[in-house]
Parts: sequence; structure tokens; C-alpha cells
Amino acid sequence: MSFLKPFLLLSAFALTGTSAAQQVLTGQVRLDDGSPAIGANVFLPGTYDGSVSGTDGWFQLEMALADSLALRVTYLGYEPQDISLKGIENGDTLKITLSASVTELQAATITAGAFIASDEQQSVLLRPIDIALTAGANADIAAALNTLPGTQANPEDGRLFVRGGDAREVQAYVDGMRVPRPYTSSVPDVPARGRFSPFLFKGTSFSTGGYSAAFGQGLSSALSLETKDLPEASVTSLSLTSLGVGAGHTERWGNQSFSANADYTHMGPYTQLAPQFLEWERAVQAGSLQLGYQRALPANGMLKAQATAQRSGLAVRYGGQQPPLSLDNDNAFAQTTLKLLPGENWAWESGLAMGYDREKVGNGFALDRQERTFQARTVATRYFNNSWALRFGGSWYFSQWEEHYVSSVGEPLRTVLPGHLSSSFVEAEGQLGSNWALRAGARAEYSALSGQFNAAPRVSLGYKAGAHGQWSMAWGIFHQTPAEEWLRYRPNLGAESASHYILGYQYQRLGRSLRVEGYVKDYRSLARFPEGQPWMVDNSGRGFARGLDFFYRDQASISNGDFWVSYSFLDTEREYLGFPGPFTPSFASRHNASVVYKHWVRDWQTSIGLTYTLSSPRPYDDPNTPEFMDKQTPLYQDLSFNASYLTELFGQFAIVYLSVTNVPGFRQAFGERFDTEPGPDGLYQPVALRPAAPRFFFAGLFLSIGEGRYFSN
Amino acid sequence: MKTMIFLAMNLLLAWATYGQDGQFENGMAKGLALLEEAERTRDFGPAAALFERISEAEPQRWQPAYHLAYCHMMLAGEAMEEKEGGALSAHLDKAQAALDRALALAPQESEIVALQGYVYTGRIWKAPMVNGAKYSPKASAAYAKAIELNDENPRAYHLMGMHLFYTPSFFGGGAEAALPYLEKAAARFDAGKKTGEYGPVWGAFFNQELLQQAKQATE
Repeated sequence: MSFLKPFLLLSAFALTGTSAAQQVLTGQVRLDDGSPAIGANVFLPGTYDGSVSGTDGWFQLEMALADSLALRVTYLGYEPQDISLKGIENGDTLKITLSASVTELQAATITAGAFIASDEQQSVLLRPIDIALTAGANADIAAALNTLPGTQANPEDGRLFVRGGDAREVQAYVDGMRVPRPYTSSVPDVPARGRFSPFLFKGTSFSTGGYSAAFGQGLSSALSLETKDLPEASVTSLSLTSLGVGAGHTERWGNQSFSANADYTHMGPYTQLAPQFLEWERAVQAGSLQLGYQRALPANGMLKAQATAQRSGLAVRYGGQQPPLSLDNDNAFAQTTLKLLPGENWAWESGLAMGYDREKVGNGFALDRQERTFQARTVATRYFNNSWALRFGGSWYFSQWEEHYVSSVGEPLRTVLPGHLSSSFVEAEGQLGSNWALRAGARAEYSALSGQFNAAPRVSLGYKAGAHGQWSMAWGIFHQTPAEEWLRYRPNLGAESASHYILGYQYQRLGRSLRVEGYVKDYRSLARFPEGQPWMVDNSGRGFARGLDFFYRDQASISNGDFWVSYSFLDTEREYLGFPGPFTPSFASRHNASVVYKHWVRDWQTSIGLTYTLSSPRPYDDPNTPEFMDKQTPLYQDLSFNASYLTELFGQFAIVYLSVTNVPGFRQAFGERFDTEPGPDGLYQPVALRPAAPRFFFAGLFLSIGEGRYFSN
Repeated sequence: MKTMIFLAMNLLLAWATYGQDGQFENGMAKGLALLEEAERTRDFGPAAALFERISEAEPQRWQPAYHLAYCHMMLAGEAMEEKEGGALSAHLDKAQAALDRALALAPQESEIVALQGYVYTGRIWKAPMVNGAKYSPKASAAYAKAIELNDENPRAYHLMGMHLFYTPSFFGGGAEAALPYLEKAAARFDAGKKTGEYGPVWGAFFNQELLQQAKQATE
């Protein structure tokens, strides 16, 4: 009968388990601030046995106690807790305190210097739609970012100038790949625009300093744009504006999509209609074609490929000058990126990109400038369970810059500059306890042209102060290869460098955000011309920038309204290029302020925007006076308006868009520019710099057809 | 002798599994009763707690995870009405996590796909101007797929109808667009076909209400 023994034994055990040991366990669940947790789920994992805590946090559980058991307590917004029942006996009471789960909203984050516009992250200051709808920006990314603190308005230029840095100190990236020519080519007084539409991106990260080691080659700023993922559905879009026409189609099938967009702009009819200060010989004409392909791969992987080609041209006459200044530009950029998630803890991104740019300038001379770039990049991220991530990677960037210059006098000049830049970085980011966040990394770069090797450490800290406030600090060193214009005189010119020191405070609560940030920037090794001679260029330039940035956004005080106010104070001087000593450069204004207001008028289905910009005078040099930088541009003011009316047209979703810059007609002027050679009277002839026209009007009709119309522009 | 042991073990096994199945049935019956009660009291907390326990104890069944997700959607709706943005997001995240488990078990189940669409709709509540563009097409794509997977599912039609009803007409929504879906949903609710034994049963009452509103608006 021995075979019965195990059976009996097991049965006996089973019986004991179900009837003999039914005991009562009571306890109280509290939150980390001491208040009772109401409705916490208290249970034995793997069984149905459990209870819910009452209004006072108390619970009672009838169960079979055993040392091997553990109780689990879950509560919304708090970390689940497992409590061992070892040594707990019938009648004991448990005291349980839950700690708040570290979510994106509550954790300390790295915010120093950064403005992030994202739909996916929670506690950001901006959304992508804010960039598209800022009045005065006309859907130009740089113009919209110019309403944020840390930027200096240079309306006649159109590019971004950050914290005392010039425009080339802002490096743009798309999906991690460096964009060699992010702006359209332009001539003075005709502001450049970004080559990319803001509607292509799901996230924009604009750093005004202290940015990640993953990026380089920007002394002041990194602008990182992330393209949208697979669209939900197919859509066809058409646009008809006062400046041109456009058409596009996106086809989505299975886990793939393909898109093609074409645009044509001709400013001729507009310049005929609206009075212009500038004398157009040939108004701006531009055509562009953009192709994109996306494919979702298993396990959240993604393959993206995109290509753009643009051609533009214009000719303008300054102050009745003969002959006119003409500019023709061809630009192409293609890139493909692959994101894979091999295993739970790894992410791997890599990409290839090619760029081509050709600029032909004519003005009594002929200048033909070409640039070819090729780049490869790969980055791996290892995620650890405790919120830490380690990123490392490398990139290789090749560029060939070529310039042919033919003047009416003298020999033609030809310069060829091939450049290889290899870089690698490593960076760790994570939480130090519940109140601190740390990002620390370093970047190494090697330039084949200069034979120079650079190492740049970067550290950012975030400290959570209370439920809504946060302190942030950053320090880092940033390098950038000097402009080709100076490299051609001395190809082995070393990299320019800047050190950033940032301290800021941010407070976010119920739709209101306040941010104040102070910074000091130390420029070293800037390109400088000893004795004012460019061909003697060396790295002896120096400079500094220091300032205070202020930002307040309020989405709560006005029903259906939303506004932000930014103010930047800047104090900067540099001794670089041909400067005879330390001076404030002509792109830097001491005070900059913007007010951006957006209002949604529900009854009219219309979004209205107003943007006011104020910029204090900037210095400029008059070569006819012995003093350097002794003149000042007048105060600059602008008030722009836009309206988007959402409606139906031919049964399709349509947006009617209207915008006007400088509504009140402020007198806008940017000082003077002088001829490069003195006239027969020994004086340099000045040309007054003004906007092309006192106001700029724009009207457009945008039509979306198809299932995917919701999200299309 | 060996046969005896084998028999004994079989008996034991049968007993053990029988006991477990009884537990599932009893647990689900209790959970569905709590859900029914919650539909009256609008307090989905207790039902959510029970389904959280069952779904963890029964990782091979999609129904408890589904009901857990549904409870969190109802709680999210409550948080939205009380303008508690933090709680709204937290409930939506909980609902999504439960749905992810249900979807992994039964990816072709129309009920789960429809509820996934509902979670997307919940993301729109959070910030309509910001999230509408992204989640509206995701939601309608999920509802369309749910209908394709099972044309008899009243909740797939109901949710699509509700989504369209609250979508502005220039985005392709409005009462007129919603009406045929709400009508089809009503017909399917009346037919009373259930999705398996422990599947969802909710939606008929609110569908009727929306249907009335849509009819009035189009008259």
C-alpha cells in the first residue's frame, strides 16, 4: 500500500491549505506624505485573494498566513510594493507606506539650455503645433524659435543667433544627421528660411547651450529635429498661396509609407502688387521636391529615408547699383536612418547622408561655390533597469568645399578644401536618488584638415525642488571648425571653442511655466586676422557672452487663449576676425523681447495669433569714421498677425491662412552697408538697409484629401 | 502498481485543475458583478482592483486584462471630468499596459482592438488641440480594424460612432457621419450576441443616448 502514501500526504497538505489556516490580517496603507491611501489594492500575487483599503487606508484580509508569502500593494501613481509576511501572525497589523512612482512629470530632468517641443513627452514647454502657428514665423522653424529667450533677432538675416553667437554657431540635425545647409541661400535684406517644413517633424529640441555630447560642431547651439513616424493613413494635400503652389501625396500601406511633395514659389506677382523698397531685377523663384519612405520594422524598429532637392534664384539691385546682385542655388540632401531595438535593453540607431549645395553669385564678378558632404553615424544605447542609460557612438563627416572666383580684374581664384571630421562620444544619463538627474559625457573629435584632436567634456544636472520647481546646471566645452572662408587661407586652422556655464530655475504648474536662466560663455581660439589681414588668420581670437534669459508661458489664465513672454539680456564682446580689439559684434543686441499670443475662436473655427518682437539697437561699423563699431541701428519693433480658419471645401478638410507682418507699420531699419572699396572721393559709399517691403502679406489655402487628413498641414 | 500511481496522479491533477477552473469562474463572476454594479455607481475602483488580481493570476487569459483596461478607461473618463490631468494620464497608461497584455494573447480579438482605439481617444481628451492630430487617425484606424475583425461586435460600431460624433465635421466627423455607426451598434446590441463567456457587455445604454442625440442633430 505504499503507493497511497504520497497521495495521502498531498491531500492532507492541500486540505490544511484550504481550511485550517484561514486567518485575519489587518493593516493601513499610507502615502509618503502621511495621508491614507484610499482604494489601494492589497493582494497575494498569483491568487485572487485580496482587499481594497477603505477611506482611512485600512484593509482587512482573510487568508492563510505563511512565511513564504508576500503581500503586494498597488496604488495609482505610486510604486507597487511587495511586503514579506515572514513572522507575521494572526492578528498582527501591517503599516505600509507607499512611495510616489518616478514618472516623467515628477522626476528631475535635464533641462538646462533646452527648449523641447514634443507631443510624446509630458513636461515640455512647447508642442510642435506651437512652432507651426506662431504669428510672424509663417511656418518657418527658425523664425518661430526666434521668439524664445536666448535668441537675438536679426530680421534682415532670418537665421538663428543664440546667446551672443553668430548664425553658423547653431548646428542643425535631422534624425541625428548633421544638416550642412539648413537655410535657403540668400542675399542681404532678404531673410533666409529653413529648408525644412515644421510639419515634417514630431519633435524639435532647441538647445541654447550646454547640449548633449551626442552633438557637436555648434559653438552655441544644437537644433535637433526628429521626423514623424509612419503616418496613420494616406492623404493628398494641395496648397495655393499668394506666392506659389504645392502638391503632395502620402501613401500608407501595411507597415510602409511613401510620400512625395512638390512646391513652386514665384514672388514676381507679389512684388508687383505690394510696394517694395528693394529693386527686384528677378524676384525670388524656387522649386522643391521632397521624397520620403518609412517602414516599421519588427519590435518597434524603423527605417526612414528621405531626399530633398531645391533650386532657387533671385537678382536684386541695391541703391540703383549696376550691375545687379544675382544668386542661384541648387541644393540636395538625402539621408537614411535605421533604428533597431535588439533585445529589451538595447537600442541601435545608424544613418547615412549625402548633401550637395551650389551657390552662384554674380555682381560684376562671378562666384561659384560648391559643397559636397557625406556622413555616416552610428549610436548604441544600453538601458539599465534603474532608469540609467548609457549611449555611445561615432560619426564620420566628409566635406569637399570648392570655390571659383572670377573678377573683372586679376587672376581667377580657385580653392578646394577637403575635410574629414571623425567624432565619437559616450554619455550616461539617469536619476541620482529621487531628486537629482545627471547627464555626463564626453565627445572627441579629430579633424584631418587641421590634424587637431579635441576632447570636450559635458555635464548637466537637474535638481527637483518641490513638486513643481526644478533647478538646472550645465557645464561643457564645445568645438567647431572655422568657416571655409578663413580655412582657405590656412587649412590647418584649429577648431574654435566655447565653454558654457549655465544655472537656471524652472517652475511648472497647472498650465503655467516660468523659466529663468543665467549663463556665461567663454570663447577661445576664434579665427582672428592679426593686423587686419585675412590671409594671416590664426586662432588668437577670444570673447565672452553673458546674460539672463526669462520665459513665461501661460495656457491657463485665458480661456482658449495661450501666450508666452520671453526676454533676453545679453552682454557680449569678442576680439575676432578683423576686429581691432574687443567689441560687441553687429549681430548682438543687448535686449530682446517677444510676446506670442494664440487664441482659438471656437465659433469661427479659427485660430488667431499675434507676435510682438522688440530688439534694442545693434552696433555696426562705418569705415568712414576712425572709430570701430561706433554706429547703432535703430530700435527694432514688429507686430505680426496670423489667422487659420479650419473649414470644409468640396467636402474636404481645408485651412485658409492669412498673415501680415508689421501691422502697425513700425519704421524698421538695419543700419547701413558700405561698399568694399572707397569711391573716388575716398569715402565708402553707404547703402541703407531696410526690409524688402514695409509689410509682408501672405494668404494661402491648404486642402487635405483622404483618411489621413486630420494631421496633415 | 504503476497503473495505480498513474491513476492517482491523474486524479490529483484533475482535482487540482478543476479547483483552479472553479476559481476562475467564480472570480470572473464576481468581477462581472462588480462591473455591473460600477455601471450604476460609476465607481470602477473595486472592479479594477479585482481584475488586477485576476489578470495577474491568470496570465493566459485575455478577458481579465481586458476588463482591467476597461475599468481604467472609465476611471480616466472620471479624471477628465474632474480635470485631473495627472490621474487621467496615469489611468490611460494603466489601461494601455493591461491592453498590451491582452493584445499579446489575442491580437485578432475585435473587442481588444476596439478598446485600444478607445484608449487612443482617451489621449485626445488629455489635450485635444495637441493630441487630436496624432491620435484621432489612430483611434479611427483601430475602430475600423475592430469592425473588420468582427462585424458582429456592437462596441466596435459604438466606439466608432462615438468618436465621429465628437469629432468636428471639418475633420470628417459630426452627427451625420456618426449616425450609421450608432444605428448598426444598436442593432448589434439588440441582437445580444456575446463575445465568449467572460467577454465585455458594456455600451448599450450610452449608445442609445448618443443615437438619440445624433438623430435630433440631423433632423
